[in-house]
Parts: sequence; structure tokens; C-alpha cells
Amino acid sequence: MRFLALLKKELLQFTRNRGLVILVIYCFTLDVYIAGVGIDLSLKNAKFYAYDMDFSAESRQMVSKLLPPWFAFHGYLLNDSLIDEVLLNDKAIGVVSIPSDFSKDLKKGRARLQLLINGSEALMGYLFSGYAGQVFLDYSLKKAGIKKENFPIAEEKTRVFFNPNMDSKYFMGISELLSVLVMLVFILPAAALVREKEMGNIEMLLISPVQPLEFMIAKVLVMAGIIIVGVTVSVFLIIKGILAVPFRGSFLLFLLFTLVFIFTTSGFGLFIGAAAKNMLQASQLSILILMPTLFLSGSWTPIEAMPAWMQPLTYISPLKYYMDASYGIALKGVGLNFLWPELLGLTVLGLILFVLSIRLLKRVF
Amino acid sequence: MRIRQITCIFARESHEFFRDKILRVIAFAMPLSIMLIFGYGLALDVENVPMAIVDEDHTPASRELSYKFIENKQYFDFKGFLPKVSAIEDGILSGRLRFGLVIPSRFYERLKEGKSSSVQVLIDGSFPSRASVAKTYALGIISNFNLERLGTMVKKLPLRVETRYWFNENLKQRNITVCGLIPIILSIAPTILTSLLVVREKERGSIYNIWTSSITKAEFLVGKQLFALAISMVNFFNLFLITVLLFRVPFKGNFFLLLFWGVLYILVSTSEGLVISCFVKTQVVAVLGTVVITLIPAFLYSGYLVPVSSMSADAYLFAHAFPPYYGLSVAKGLFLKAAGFRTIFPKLLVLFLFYVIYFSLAIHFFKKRES
Repeated sequence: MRFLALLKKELLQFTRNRGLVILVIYCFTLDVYIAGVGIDLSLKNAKFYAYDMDFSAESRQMVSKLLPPWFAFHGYLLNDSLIDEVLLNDKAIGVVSIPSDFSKDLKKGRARLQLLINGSEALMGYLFSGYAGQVFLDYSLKKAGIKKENFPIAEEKTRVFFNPNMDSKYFMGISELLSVLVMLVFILPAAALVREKEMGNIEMLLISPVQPLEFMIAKVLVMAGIIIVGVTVSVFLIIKGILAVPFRGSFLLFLLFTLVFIFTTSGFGLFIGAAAKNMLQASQLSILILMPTLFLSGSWTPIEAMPAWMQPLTYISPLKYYMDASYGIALKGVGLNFLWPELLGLTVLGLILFVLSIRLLKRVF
Repeated sequence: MRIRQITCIFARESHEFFRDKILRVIAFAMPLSIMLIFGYGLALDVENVPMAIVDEDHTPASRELSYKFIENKQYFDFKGFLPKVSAIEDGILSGRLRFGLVIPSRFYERLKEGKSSSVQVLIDGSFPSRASVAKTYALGIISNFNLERLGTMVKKLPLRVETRYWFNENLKQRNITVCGLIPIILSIAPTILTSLLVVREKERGSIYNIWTSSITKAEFLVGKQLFALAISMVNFFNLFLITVLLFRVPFKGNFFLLLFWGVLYILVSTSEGLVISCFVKTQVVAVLGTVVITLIPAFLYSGYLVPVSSMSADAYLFAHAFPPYYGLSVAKGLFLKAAGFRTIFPKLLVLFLFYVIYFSLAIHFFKKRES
């Protein structure tokens, strides 16, 4: 009964803070949508210009080889100082530079062509040169009279798993949902706890028959409820509905992982709340822990691409297990037979964290 | 605008800051930790892709092609030969592999007959950008293999392509990712710090002192902002030193321009924090709101991961509606391209406009009475 009253108090406190309610709704809907729809990490619509000194049918043909949707041709540059300008102002990813005598050289079989890549656009620069290089190589082979079928060469057939069109929405939508969720799980309990301290309510709690643990669990439970509702709405309305990302596996399994994740990670949040004396501290502390947790999950850089010393550290990020499981369930459609190590890791890590933060809390109270 | 009032607010904030043992450490440690973790860890280069090969052919040609992939140690991390395709599929499902190559039986036979033969490339698509880079690697290696085999048949290809990278000659991704972190951190850390400065007083009730005093809204906010600026400038210098000394990113531009940019950019971020702080009623909302509002434009819409020039139309507009795009563009220009004042001036002007707009909004939202 007492516990129910505590739950009611937390729920009321949440719903009465209208700003917070709006923010949480925003997090689970518009925020996921914005991140999912706007960002495309594959080569699409890459702007390029051409600097054509030959201006022959052949040289124009070169430019027309770079086709949408991968490339977007934006016009001819009339002198070479303009190359500098478009690259300096990030107006283009690359410039195709065609020397004069290009068509004559092509007939003699010794034509050259330059790709000038904007090196300050990291990933796109590489993809641009890779794709464009391939396009010109194909052309060159054809020109040399090599028809692929009739020549003894290896042809590749690519099969991309889980996301055949390499659509970034799949990745970004889910990744953003998970990031938002971590943020909430970190900040909400920490803030709730610090608020009690700042308001002085903690004194009242100390003299009341309510146990600190009871009080904490009520906070976490209410937050878990809010997040579960948010995640459900987000997955069905935004990710499946608007972004049209397939959700292949079992949604219930995903919810199970989400619940376990909330309980483990709220350990972090409670820890911050227990350690911090005011919101300024709590906010800085939560970012201090939040960013490594986000990063070490492998959602920014896959773990195998991190430096060797950093790779073992990824095991202490609860988000790593949750992220792997979520991608597994949503994109790969796998079940517990593949994901039990993640569930185990998450549970063990969560227990350790929870025990640690309860101990710390007992010292604070 | 009276100097005494402003310095008074400034001094009060500083006192409180330095008395807070935890805060005075974390406020400086937080930006540094983001810098170190992302600086060391964020790899946009696609390297060490875990890969396995299924060779159903077992001929010199299939081995040659396999070794072309295995030798490429920088790009691929060869995990071994597997007996059948389903083993690769399992590896990709469980996340142990991201890439697989299948050379079918009769591969060599077909080549000997003078026909083309296809090999299968299996890629884990859960990281789309990495999948597409891995695909270009595979294409490159296979073309290379083909060209060597054809070597005797085709003397020379009629067209050769040279690629040159401007500004960042070896396409060293770290230079880009590290110097790009400065504006990103400066759009998050100062904003979070400032976002609490006003709302904290609202929640504690000490705001009544301000309401009843003769200090004007602008004086009050400028005092708060100068305090946040001072803290953030220390962070700015720290970040710059780490970038140049620890990560050894060459700084090609003019330092005074960077300094000017730093002050202006921090003014924009802190004004944004003030707007949030004046607008909301509780600190929880301020912190959460700031993180949500700053994190996405800073990382996703600044051009840090994806160039703004190749975004879809609405994303392009969205990117231009937030300061990080301009901030990052100037920082990259100064670091990597030695951009001069003329090049960066339009963007500095836009940043100045953001500052004016945000600060006016903060004044507008700050009420010196019960609302």
C-alpha cells in the first residue's frame, strides 16, 4: 500500500511537469524521426563539379557517367581557381578534372583524368573516389574491348544482409531510439533524486518509515513504465510506421531486453543522483558517463574498428549488449538462441551496478 | 548596462563554482573526456573488417583471389576459411563476421574456358556506411585481380584515373574527426552549463532576490553568460592544445581567427543555454532538453558525419537552421584548409546573428515577475 502511494507520487510528479512530458514525447517521436530521415551515410546525391578543358563529346560523356542517385552533377567550372573555391567552401565532394586533348589521347589509348576529392569530408570523400574510380574503370575496360561475359575475369555478386539497399534509415532510426532511451534512463532518476535533495525533501524521507530502497525502486519502476510506453509508440508509430523500417524479430523479446536494460542502467542514474549534490553536478556527471557509454556501445564505430586498448572497455557499457540485441532482434530477426550471451552480460553487469549504487546510496542516506 | 551589476553576478557565480569541489573538476573534465574518447576511438576509416572466405574451388586461381583479400590486412581482418556458405551466414547473424567471400566450384575452370565467373560477396548491412565502403574495397580487390590476369591480353587501359585529396593529403580521417570535435563539444558543454544557471535560481527561489533588485534583465543575463564564457574558454584552450599536441593535427590557419571564432561560438552556445534556462521551469527539463536539442544538430546535422552538401533537401535546410553547421565549417576551414578571413566571414556573420537572436530570445523569456 505504502509502495503504491509512492508509485502514485512519482507518476503524479512526472505528469505535472508539463515540460518534461512534452520533452519525453518529443524524444520518442520527432527526435527519432529527424535522426532517421535526414542522415544518409551511404553515397547519395554527392555533389560534384567538372573542370573540362577538352570539351569534347568524350569528355562530356565522362561527366554523364556519374549518375544519380549516387552522384549529383552541379555544373562546369570555367577556370581552375574555382576548383579551389568550391572545395574550400564545401560546395562539392569532388571535382572531375579533364585535361585538354582528352579525346585525342583517348583514341591513342593514353588518356588521363583527375578526381579531386574534398579531403575534409571524411567518409564521403572515400566513397566518392571509390565509386567514381569503379565507374571509370568499367568504361575503360569496355573501351579496351573487354566484354565482361567473354573474358576470363571474376565478377562479383554482392548480397547485403539485413538491409539490402544499405538504407541508413534502418540504422539511424534504431540507433537514435536507443540513444534517447539511454539519455532518459541516465538523467531522469538522477534528476529525480537530486531534486529531492535540493528541495530538502530527503530529510522528510529519512524520518519516514519508507525505506530508501523502496523509494528508489518506486522511482525506477515509474520511469520504466514511461519508457516502455514510449518505446512501444516509437517502434510502431515512427520506426515501423513512418520510417518503414522492418522489425523482423519478436517485439516482446525486445521489450524484455529494454526492461533489463532500464534496470541495469538506472543503476548509473541512481549512482549519479546519489553522488551529486545539485543539478549542475548531476548534469555534468551524467554527460561525463553518458558519452562514453554511448560511444563504447559500438553504435558510432563498430567495436572491431576501435583501438585495441579500447575494445575490452566496451564490455562495461550496458548499451553494447542492449544495442547488439536490439539490432539482432529488429534487423536480423534472431531470437534468444543467438542473444542469450547479451542477456547474460546485461544481467550480470546490471546486478553489479545496482548493488554498487545501493551501497553508495546507503552511505548517502 | 552597468559594469558593477554584471561583475557582481559574475563574481557570485564564480564563488559558487569554485566552492563546489565536484563541479569545479567535472566542468573541465567532461569536455576533455569526450575529446579523448571520440578522438581516439571514433574511426570513420573502415578497417579490420572481420572477414571469412569459403573456397569451393581449391585451385590456384581461387587461392590467388583469396590471398588478395587476406593480404589486405589494413582493410580486412581474415578470420579463416569456412567450409560452407551457411557458416558465413551464421557468423554475420551472430555478429562475429561482417564480410564474406564465396568462390564457387568451377571458378578456375570457367576462367580457363575464357568465360567470366562470378564470386559472391556477403556483407553485413547493419552499418550501412561501412557496408558500402567494404563493398568498394571488394570491388577494388577483384578489379585488381582481373587486371593482373588480363595483363597479357590488354597492354594498356585507355583511361587512367588519378585521385588527389585536397586539404588532407592522405585522407587522414583522424585529423578531420578530431578537429571537428572542438565545435561539437563547444556546442554541447557550454550550453548544458548555462542552461541551469537561471532555472536553478527559479527552482531554489533565490530568483526573488533578482526580481526585487534594481538589476536589469540584460545585466543579469550578461553576467551569467560571461561566467559561462570564462569557464568555456578554458575548455576551448584545453581542447585546442589536445588537438594540436596530443593528436598532432596540424593547425594550418590563423590562431587569432580561431580564437575570435571560439569566443563567438561559445557566446552562441551559452545564449542558447540561456534561452532554455529562461524558458523552462525545472532543472530536469533544462538538462534533458539541452542534451536532446544540442546533441543531434551537433553530431548529425553539422556535417561532421555526413557532408551537408549531399543531404536531402529538408535535412539541408535543417542543418542550416542550427549553429553547429557554421561552427564546424569554420573550424575545419581554419584547421585543415588555412582559410582566410574572407572565406569564413559569411559564416562568422551568421553565427553573430544566431548570438543576437538567441540572446534577445533569452531576454524575452526571462520574466522579472511571477508568471
